Order: sequence, then structure tokens, then C-alpha cells
Amino acid sequence: MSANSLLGQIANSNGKAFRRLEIKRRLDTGLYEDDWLDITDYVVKFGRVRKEIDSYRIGQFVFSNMTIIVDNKTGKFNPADSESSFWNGYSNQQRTLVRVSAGFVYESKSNGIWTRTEYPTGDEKIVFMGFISGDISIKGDNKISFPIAPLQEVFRQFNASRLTGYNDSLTASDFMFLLRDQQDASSNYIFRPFFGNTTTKWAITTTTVEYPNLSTSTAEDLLNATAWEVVQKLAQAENYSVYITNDGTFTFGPRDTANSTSFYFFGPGDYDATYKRTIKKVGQYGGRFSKYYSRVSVKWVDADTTSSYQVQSSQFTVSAESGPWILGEKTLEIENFWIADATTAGNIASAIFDEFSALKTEIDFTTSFIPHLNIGEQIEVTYDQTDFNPSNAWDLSVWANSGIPATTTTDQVTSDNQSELAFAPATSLNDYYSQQFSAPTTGDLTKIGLKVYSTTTTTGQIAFDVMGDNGSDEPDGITLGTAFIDVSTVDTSIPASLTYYTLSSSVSVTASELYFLVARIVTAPADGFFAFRYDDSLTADGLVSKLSYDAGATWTIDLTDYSFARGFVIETTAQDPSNVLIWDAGGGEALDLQKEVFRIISIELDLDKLETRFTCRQD
Amino acid sequence: MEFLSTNLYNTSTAITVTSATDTAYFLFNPDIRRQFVSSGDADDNTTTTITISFDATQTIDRIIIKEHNIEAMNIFYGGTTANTFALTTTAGLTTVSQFASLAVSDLFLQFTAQAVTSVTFDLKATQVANVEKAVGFIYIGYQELDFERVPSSDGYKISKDPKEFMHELADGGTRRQVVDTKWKAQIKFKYITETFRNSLFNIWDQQNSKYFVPFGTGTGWDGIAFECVWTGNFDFYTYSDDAEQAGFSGKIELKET
Repeated sequence: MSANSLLGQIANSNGKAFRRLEIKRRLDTGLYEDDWLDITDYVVKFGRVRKEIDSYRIGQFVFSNMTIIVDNKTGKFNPADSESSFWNGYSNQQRTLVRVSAGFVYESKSNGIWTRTEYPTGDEKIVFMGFISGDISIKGDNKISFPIAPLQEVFRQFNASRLTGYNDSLTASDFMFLLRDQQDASSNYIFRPFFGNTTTKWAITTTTVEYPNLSTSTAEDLLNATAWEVVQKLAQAENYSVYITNDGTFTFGPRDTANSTSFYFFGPGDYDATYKRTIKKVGQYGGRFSKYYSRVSVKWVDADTTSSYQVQSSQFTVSAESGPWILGEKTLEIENFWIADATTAGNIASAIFDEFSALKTEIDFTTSFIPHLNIGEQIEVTYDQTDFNPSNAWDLSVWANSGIPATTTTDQVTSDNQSELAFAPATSLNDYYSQQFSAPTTGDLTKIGLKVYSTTTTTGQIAFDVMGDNGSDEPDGITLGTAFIDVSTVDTSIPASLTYYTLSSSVSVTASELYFLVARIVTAPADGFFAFRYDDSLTADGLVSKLSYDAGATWTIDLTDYSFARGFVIETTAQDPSNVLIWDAGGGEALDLQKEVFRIISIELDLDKLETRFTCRQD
Repeated sequence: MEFLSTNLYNTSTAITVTSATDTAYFLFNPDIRRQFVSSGDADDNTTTTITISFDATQTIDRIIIKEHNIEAMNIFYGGTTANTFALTTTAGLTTVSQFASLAVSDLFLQFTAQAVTSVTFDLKATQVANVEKAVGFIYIGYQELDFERVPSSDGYKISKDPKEFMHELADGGTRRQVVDTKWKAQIKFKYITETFRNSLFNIWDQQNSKYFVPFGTGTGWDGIAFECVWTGNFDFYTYSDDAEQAGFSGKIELKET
């Protein structure tokens, strides 16, 4: 990867970085000056920029405050009445616009001329936009702390009843346009100056639902509400998200659920020439019980009647697949009387339920400086703490690579790239870590029924991911839902019947479409190793595996009509290692992530250490 | 080895250029990779002119030009091309400030003190023919103190220190990001005269920044010159020996601003 690119600079082991602080002061007319003033040379401490969302699909987006410390030995940061001050001849320091940029610098020289390129390019290098708001503290050592509020604060500092332009048929997008175009009695824009003083920094998606409760400025719902509270409530009522981007664009629209990976993070255990390794340490990893809800209730009408609520909930059965039984019943209650109708309330409940009804894992990790990623982007993490022991032959190469496709019980069962899941070509279903199946009906796949057994391994966890087909009879690598299996729960011999495992999220399948079930290791066992292998003996009972759909009605995918029936065997150290692929050897690894897909829910840029901290949620 | 005044200009209003006015302020930016680069003058038959003007008459005897790609240029004062500077260190160069075949990227000019209200640089040809003219930095000033001698080699420590961020990755690897680099120098003297000591004290006592040029020379210059502050105490009142006539000892700690 060329160093003359953003990815090249992120992966560059020895690169140049920049941080920049700029301000825009208000003239004595009250209007902002045209150009930004660079005051980077005076910065003693930049501080941190943090942005987070409690859940991407709920959309409560938060940008934290910043505190920047500057050197005031020259008196440049004295109040405006001081002759040496930057603000002398300008208005008060409060509400001075602040822009913080950071990134990398690529420099090259040709014919005696240096070319300097900053990455990210354009406005993508802006990491924070805000304004000075709060007590300004002058320290005894001639340093001054400036409290910087994020741009959304400008709406919090404005009462909604001050706005003009309300009408009987106001839609949510109308309200956003109201903010954009709001003027004072002298036709000066009130909010636009904070957003580039143009309309191009307002990305508003049109809506159609009208809100008669916002017909006048004296409406009850507006009297004691800030403009931001109204914005958030309308966004929730529309099932939209509202946030202000790094570069100061006000954005109101449907949530982005794009499923393309924006960045790949690597820690020990794997390496990529483009992304290299960027993870410094993993803070936390695990299921986030505090964000699990088996029941979501949206109250959209004030009256306390059944029809005032739209509820989505998991089925409650005494079984291993029942979330409420296994994890307990937890209800998330949401109340928003601005929601237009039951359908919208139901959609909101469904969206939140889809996100929270499974126990999802979250990971918190710190990396070297990565300035450009945003909340909601999908990322992949690979982190394998397997000890490297040159005398240990495990986990170093593919063993017994003679059997593709496998035709005997001793042939290996995966692709050459041991760091990937097995995507063996499957023209005749000779794929081993993965099984292809065709959905017999259109609906939601919520469980899979499998026969899994282990001879002696009793610890660790494996998983089966449901993936789509990539058009070439191979898994497409996009996990739609996962069934986790603790090895401690599986039989030690061929099970007589299927065990149904609930998927982490239901998978919407279409009749006759092809899908894959792909096996992988989540946690290595403490008492041996995992090896998945093809086992003829599993055909003994004539029905090896079937995938079952269970959401009220039950349908079954019967694989007995295939020429090769397959099962999954978990072996122990007793197995001859030359006959199987070892994916993980040794024991006691706390963390083993192989291309796990997450979505970013918070980012913290430490501009004084040039490191980034991500919190991500299983997607 | 010498201390010079601070750069006598530090605002873009003091600079007039015949092209690329938006990069003119890079001329006093100490980051020499941020250059003034002409626009539309990639022709050795086209002259790019930089004029630096002063609010009041200044008496100067030093000009430094860093990170340039100029082969031929004339430097004169008062807006008159004949008003060239009489160079006093001319080995390998001309005796006046008119150059036809420069092959270096850094230039240190020492000349007879001259009172000026402006200094003009006519950039004519580039070392690689017919490319835009580029200049990383121009200093204009005067000498404040010429060291009576250079220190011994073990009394002179100079380094370029990075402001760096080191990341230890999870696999034990290291990644480094650098924001900037700054010069740092430590100079130790023994047996200096009282006169030199008093001159050094005057410099230290002014409590403002100076330009430090360790080995300014007309040809083969190493390009080291930087604005710095003298940090720490002034300890040259220490006698070097029991015999007070032997002189004084002390050290100078300089850090680039």
C-alpha cells in the first residue's frame, strides 16, 4: 500500500501526523469572520474527542465536549478588552467557533519542490466542530482552559418556542428546514453561521407525516423544550437518526445499515499487508447483558390502553433456545406520543428488538492513530492470542492437505488459508466446515437443528454462522446470524435427535435461495484442541443433520437426499494431528477473534497521544 | 558560531510576490518543507520576484535562504537591481549577491552591513530547468554576537529532536508518529574572556529569542540555523581555574522555538 494514501499512512510504521486548532471570532456586528484563524502553535493540550451512540439502530448520538489548554504567555487569549488578545476588536470569546483537524502528512520532493498532502483529505480531516461555551479558567502558569461544546449544543441553547414558522401541517423535515432557515428580525440567520453559513451543511431527508401538536410556538410540546429535544423526538418518531458529522453537517435521515466493511483491524495472530496491525490493546470483550432486552414496548398514545402500546418480544419457553428463560425477561420501554400511528410504533419496536433481543458481544480496543472512521461503520477484527512456540506444530499450517474434496474420514476439512473459514468449492456439497442449503420457504430462520458431538473435549465454544451464497457456490463471508454452542453441552456420542440452537439474530431467507452454514471456533478448549472433520459414521442413522426453521410453524431441511451426509465431530488430542487441521492449539487463550464483524458504537480520539479507542458491537 | 537577531519580518503584509501570493507566508514559516512555490513561472526565462519590505530602515548583514531550487538569482535592496550586497564570505560564490549557477539548496550570505528598507529576490532559473521556483524559508537580520571562538568538539552537542508518539502494538511491535522536529544545542566553554562572558550575558539577559548559526559559511553550508531560546541559568560567572585570569566556564542550552 503506497504511503501516499490514508491507508498507507495509517499502516505506516514511521509517519508524520498533524493536529490543527482553528477559530472563527465574531465581529463587532455579531456575525462571524469569513476565515479560520490557525492557533495551533499556542496549544499545550488538545484533549480528547469522543462520539458515541447508545445503539446504532436507536440513534441517540452524542458528541462529547472538549477542553483545550493553550499557552497565554503572550496574552493572546486574554478577554477581548485586552490589546494583546486575539479577540481585541472582536466580540466576546464565548461562542467562538472552533474547528479541530487531525490526520497524517505525506511529503515528497521533486525538482526541489516539496509536495505535502494531508490525509484524510478535504473535510474528512476535521475531527471536531464546536464553539467555546462555559467558564474560561486562567491558570497561574499562564495557561488557559477553553471548554468547547459540540455543535449540537447550539440547539440545546435555544428554546423551541422561540422559533417562528410553525404551522398546522408541519412535518419533521419541515422542522429541520425551519432550523436551517431561521432568521432574526433583521434577516440574519440564527443557526446557519454554525454550519458553514450555507445550506450545503444540512442533509435533511424529506418526511411526510404531519405533527399537529407543533402547530404554534405556544404549543404545549414546545414551551419547555429545547430545539434539540424537539429534533430528537421527531427523529425517534420517524425512526430516523439525527446527528452532526465531524465536519459540521447537520444530518437527518434514515439510519445507514450498509453492510460493507470499512476497516480491518488486526492484532497478534494474523497480518494483512494493507491494514497491517494497528491494535494496541483490547480493553474489554464479552456479551453485553446490560444491552439485552427480550421485550421492547413502545407507547405511542398517552391513553393507558392496550392499543397505546406496540410490543415486540421473544417467545418465552422453558428451553435452551428461549432468551427470556436463559437470560431473563428484560423490557425496554420507550414513550413518544409524537409517533404517528401503530405501524410506525411497531416498526420502531421491531427495529429496537432486532438489535437488542440477542445477547450481543461488544469489544473495546485501542489502536494507533486512526482518525477517519465514523459511528455506525462496519469493521472486522482479527485477534488471536495463541502463543507462538516454534517447537509447537499446531496452528502453523494446514495439515493433511491431500483431501480436497474429502473422500475419506482422514482427509482435512478446510481451505489452505487457515486464517479463513472454510470456503471450499461446493459443487457437490463437499464442503466441510460449511454446508450449503436451499431455503424451502420464505421466512425468518431463527434456529438451526444440528447433531454435534465431542468425544472428550468438554470446554470451549464453537459457532455456526449463517451466510449467503456469493454466486459461486461459496459462502459470501457475511454473517447473517450465529448459533453458539458450548462444547460442554454437546453429547459424547452421536446424538439420537437434533438440538436446536437459537441464532443470534433471525435471518430472513427467501425460498430456493442458497445459504451456507459455516462452522468456526469461538473459544479454544482448555483441555485439547478443536478439529472439525468429516465423519462417515454420522451417516449411520441415515439422518445426519437438518436445519430447522422455527417461528411458530416448523419446517425442515432434509439433507438425507444428498450423496454425502455430513456431521461435525469435535476431536481431542487423541486424534492423529496429521489427519486434521488444527485451528487453535494450546489452551487458555482469552481472546480469539477471527474476522469478527462489528459495528462501531463509540470512538474516542486522544489527540495528545495520537491513539484511537473504539467500542464496537457485534453486528 | 554566532547569534543573530530574530527575523526582521514575520507577517505576510511585509511580502510582495509576483505570483502565488497564497504561499508567500511560507517564507517566514520555519517549516522549510512548506515552501513558497511560484505559479505559472515554470520557465527559466520568467523571473519570479519576492520583495520583503520593512516598516522602518533596518541595518542588516545576514541573509539565509533555505530549501530552494534556484540556480540563478539576484538579491538587491531598495528596489534597485544595482544595489547588491557586498558579500564578505565569498569562497566559491560571487562577491556580490548575484548568482548564476547555484547547485545547493541552502544559502548563508554574510555581507557588509547595509541599511535597507526592502530586500528583493529575483528568482530567474531553477536548478532543474523550467520548473516552478520554490523557496522554503528566508531570514533577514543582523549579527548580534560572534563567538570569540568555537567550542571543543566535546563541548558542542547538537541534535534534532522529534515530538513523537510511540505506540506499542498488541504483538509487541512499534509504530511511531512524528508531529514535528526541533533543534537542540548545548555549548560548553572553558576559559572564556570576561568580555565574551559579558557579551553572552547580554544575550541571555534579553530574554528573547535569537537566531543561532553554528557554522555559517558561503559554500558547503550545512544549513543549520534556527530560532531558539536560551533556557536555564547563566553560569558563566564560574571561574575555570584558581587563576582568575584563566577565564570563565559555563554552558549554553538552546532550544528551537
